[in-house]
Amino acid sequence: MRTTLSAEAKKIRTREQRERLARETERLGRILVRYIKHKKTGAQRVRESRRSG
Amino acid sequence: MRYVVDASIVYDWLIPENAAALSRALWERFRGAGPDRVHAPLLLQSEVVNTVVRDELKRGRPAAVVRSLIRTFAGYRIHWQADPLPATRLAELRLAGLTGQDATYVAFAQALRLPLATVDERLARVLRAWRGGPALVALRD
Repeated sequence: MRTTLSAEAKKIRTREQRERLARETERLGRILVRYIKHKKTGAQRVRESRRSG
Repeated sequence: MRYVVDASIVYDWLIPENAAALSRALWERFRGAGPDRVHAPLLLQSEVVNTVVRDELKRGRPAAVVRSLIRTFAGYRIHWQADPLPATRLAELRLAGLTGQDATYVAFAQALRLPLATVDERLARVLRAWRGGPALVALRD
């Protein structure tokens, strides 16, 4: 019984960890995309402003 | 050194946070009482002002900061285009596939018989492959 509870708790922790890791990865991905967008070169910015007026 | 600049170089001078190596090197020669004589077509003024105003407002900068950047730009010692460019030359460059803006910088450099400084890879690639075009300003080793 004790072993079963422990195994169950471990499984939940693992699932929670997995979900937390997924959330963290997604958050870091969003930060990275924002960083890359922010780091456009001057030439890219000039070309974009030509397109959008 | 005398050369023509396009908007990609001057934008880097004004907002150097992600400036290319060539822009930084030229800025060191141009700033203050630097030895370089820099020429530009009138188009550059519209392009730089438009890009700076659009991008800086989009990034949440207050209008006062944007105005200050434009005042800095207005103080650059650029030798501006005095004469209109030949329309036939512009047309030829457009027919060769250049954008209207790129054609203007190229035609201006050709009219002055000066090399062109750009960090726009697309334009640089076209000019490297084209023997009849103006020389490109490059970093010295």
